[in-house]
Amino acid sequence: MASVRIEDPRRRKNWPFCAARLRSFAGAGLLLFPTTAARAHDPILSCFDNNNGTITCEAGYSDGAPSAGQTIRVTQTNKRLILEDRFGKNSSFTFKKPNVDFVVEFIGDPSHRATFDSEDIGK
Amino acid sequence: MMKFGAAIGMTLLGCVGLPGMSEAHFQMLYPGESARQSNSGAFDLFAIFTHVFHGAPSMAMAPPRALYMLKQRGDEGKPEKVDLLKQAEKFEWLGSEKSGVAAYKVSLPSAQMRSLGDYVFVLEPEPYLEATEDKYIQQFTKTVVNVGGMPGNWDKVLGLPAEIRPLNKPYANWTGGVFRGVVLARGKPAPFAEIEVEYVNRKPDGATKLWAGEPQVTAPHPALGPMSIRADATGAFAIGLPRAGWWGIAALDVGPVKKHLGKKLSQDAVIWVQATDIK
Repeated sequence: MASVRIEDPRRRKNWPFCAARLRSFAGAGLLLFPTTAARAHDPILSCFDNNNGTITCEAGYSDGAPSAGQTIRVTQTNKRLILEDRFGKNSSFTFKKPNVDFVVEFIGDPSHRATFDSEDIGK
Repeated sequence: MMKFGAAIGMTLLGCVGLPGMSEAHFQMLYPGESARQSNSGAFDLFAIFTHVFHGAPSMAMAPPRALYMLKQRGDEGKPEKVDLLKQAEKFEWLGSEKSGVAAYKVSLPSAQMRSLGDYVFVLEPEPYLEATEDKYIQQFTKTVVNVGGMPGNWDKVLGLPAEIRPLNKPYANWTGGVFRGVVLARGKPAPFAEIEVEYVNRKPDGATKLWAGEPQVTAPHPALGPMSIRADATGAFAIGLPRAGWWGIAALDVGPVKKHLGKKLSQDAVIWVQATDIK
């Protein structure tokens, strides 16, 4: 199994309002380039336990844009890759619940990424 | 406790005074928190017909004609409608009185409220006979809850007999901000509609069926309790939100049906807005 290194130096541990821990550059882009507001959306990622051995993750953007076809990556907390796939047409993806702690990453594009820790998963 | 007059700072478009207006009935549709996360868990939605600033009197509700939610994640697809009448449970709401009145509660499990998006809760009540005014009141009520910050159908027009279309997300307002909306009758703007605005002075406590704690605000003048404004010529209005918490907005007598069981009927539109402090 391949090993993936997640570079996340700006990770925020206690973001109070966002489902995901964001590491988006979109906000900075809005401040620097206010005329490009159409692209100034934040990525959103949220996951929940289906209580049947599977996890469902949903992703999209703060302006309502979907995540269909964009990348979801699940890794162990030691960065070892568990799976990498793409969100479906309904902007969600369901996978077998890993038996270890894990981190889900939504990779929209290089400037739109969000992560979600398994410890934050709702039942 | 703050003095309400010092902080009210209402922003009114097309505002006029309305002396002699009747008391402000408000159909609550109260979820506790409007901005939620997928792991926020289960909660109860309370439908209580009352006076939210003064806390009394509360009025007995008949079984609602309709109670449902419209859920949508993102800007694609159509909202999913979920009938909540079967989940609704009648209970006795005390408020601040010794004897209770009929109200309704919907228990929403976490599995029903964990997917990203907007959840627009809609209550279509039976008309209520207000004997002191010798008329019926029917308040079509919307409360919008969001999960996770991904928007959906918060601003969709539903075509209710009386409706307020929000122009701001009702769940995403900083204290001191402005909330805007448009009053509609069957989807068409209602020019110069009469609008009442009230602050929810105490939160409903689902466990005790009482208002929780002491009133947060004291009105130094009767006009600053239930406040009245007018929509403009396009049905639009704007209000300031000078204090964190829930604000009720009711547009009065805008629906097309004017009679019920031989008496006057006021079909009102209610929407609930929550303001959050910047910390």
